[in-house]
Amino acid sequence: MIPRMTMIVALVLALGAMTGAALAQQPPARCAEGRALNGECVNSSLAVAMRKQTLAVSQPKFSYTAPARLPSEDHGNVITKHYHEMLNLFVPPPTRITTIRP
Amino acid sequence: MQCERKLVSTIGAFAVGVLALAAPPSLAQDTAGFEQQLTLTLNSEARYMAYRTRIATPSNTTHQGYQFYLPFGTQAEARLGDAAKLDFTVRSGWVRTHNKTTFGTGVTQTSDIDTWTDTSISTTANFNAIAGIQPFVQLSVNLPTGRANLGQNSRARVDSDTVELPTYGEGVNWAPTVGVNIPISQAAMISLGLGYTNRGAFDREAATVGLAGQPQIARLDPGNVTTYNIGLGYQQGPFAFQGSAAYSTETETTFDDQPFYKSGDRYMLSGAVGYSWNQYWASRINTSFSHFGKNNIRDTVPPNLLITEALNSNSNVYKVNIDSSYTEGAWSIGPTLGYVYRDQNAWSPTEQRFLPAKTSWSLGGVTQWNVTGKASVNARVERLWITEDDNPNKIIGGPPPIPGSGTPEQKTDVWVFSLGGTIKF
Repeated sequence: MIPRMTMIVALVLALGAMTGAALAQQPPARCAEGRALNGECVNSSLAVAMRKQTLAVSQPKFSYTAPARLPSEDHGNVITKHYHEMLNLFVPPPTRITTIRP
Repeated sequence: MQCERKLVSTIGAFAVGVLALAAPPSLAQDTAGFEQQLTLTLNSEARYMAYRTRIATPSNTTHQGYQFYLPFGTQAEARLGDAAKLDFTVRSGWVRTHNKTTFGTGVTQTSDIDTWTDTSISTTANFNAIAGIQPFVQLSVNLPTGRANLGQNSRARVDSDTVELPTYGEGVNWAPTVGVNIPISQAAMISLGLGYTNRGAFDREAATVGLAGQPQIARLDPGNVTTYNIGLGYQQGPFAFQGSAAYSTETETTFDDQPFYKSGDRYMLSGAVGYSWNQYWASRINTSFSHFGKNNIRDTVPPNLLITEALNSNSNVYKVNIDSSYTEGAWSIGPTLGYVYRDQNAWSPTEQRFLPAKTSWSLGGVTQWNVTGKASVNARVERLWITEDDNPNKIIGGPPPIPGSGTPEQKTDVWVFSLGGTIKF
């Protein structure tokens, strides 16, 4: 009987020690946009801005009337319309181009 | 024995309780807020652009009109723990354009168009599980809900430097993008991207007319675009920088299923610098430069192959935007200044000439009010002054210059008003 009680007490003490250790250890900081190479949390606003820039620059001619972003993000857009394409393909009725031979 | 069992069960219950308490607090936090969080954003802006273009003597032609553009979009963002995030965006809009052209002879011609724009659907997946490498993929689709064929109202297509929407619809676009953010530290980040845009064919009005004077239809199949880019970002304290370099190459565009042209390769640079002077004032400068190589164009000599043009018919474009904002509580307000320069080598096939240089200045102001943490409204007013230089009469084979071979200066004034709102759930 006594050895069994001893085992139980030992188990409780062990659990208590583990619990104390777990409570003493701080949980890792949460990182909304993941971690950098050096282990620091990524700057969230920088990560979002870089991702949006990459996606916008990668699709310079996707949809002239409904680009893949919210309207409020139009003002920061750096892509200029391809003026030659606007002149020759989308704006005036297209005509055959007269060749200037090289 | 019974006492012993009671003791064991009590200790067991206590142990379970202690273990539950000892579980990582982050698990409870994940379930409560961080994990599987869903954010829904509704956003729209009403934009009104009123313009007037005067072409000097001897043309004395005036273009006058307005464009009302109402884009709207919604975005759902789902956070799947710390490791991944999904975005889903839908955008469409409605536009009305009115243009009245008064020729020097007094003859007037009006064109009106009101239509839905195209609708885009895009979904983006971001993966943040690996330290230092955070890839993302996006698939966007443009659905042709707009109007590509304007029939006899083709004059409602206004210069793309004057209004926001110079065109009202195109074909189906499929646009996958893959990219990766490489955060070096909390302050510095490199990004890489590769995008492909498959642009589908569409019908629109042609320059020629039928026997009854009705516009004919042209079938255009724009070239598909592949773009490679690299970006650099830095944000530390009050200072922020963001820049990118991109290279695009394009396939052949066809006109009524015949080779039409192939755009030259595009090189684009952009950079933005922001600085917060204090808790109230912040400023930002955005710049970009775009250059295209020579196009391949259709040879008029059979067998009408595409050949490299003798002179580059694409413009170089330089763009600078400067804005400052003053923020106090939920309000912010500030001025904006813009400058665009398009150098003198854009070829207009309808007029058989290179267009002269064009300069655009804009001055305005923008204000925003964060009504609550979840809702905001904004308003913007801008005035644009656009000047397209004159193009003097040409001397061909010796003086005198041939009358009418040049074009006079064009001046355009534009007022832009916009009112927008955003709600988040």
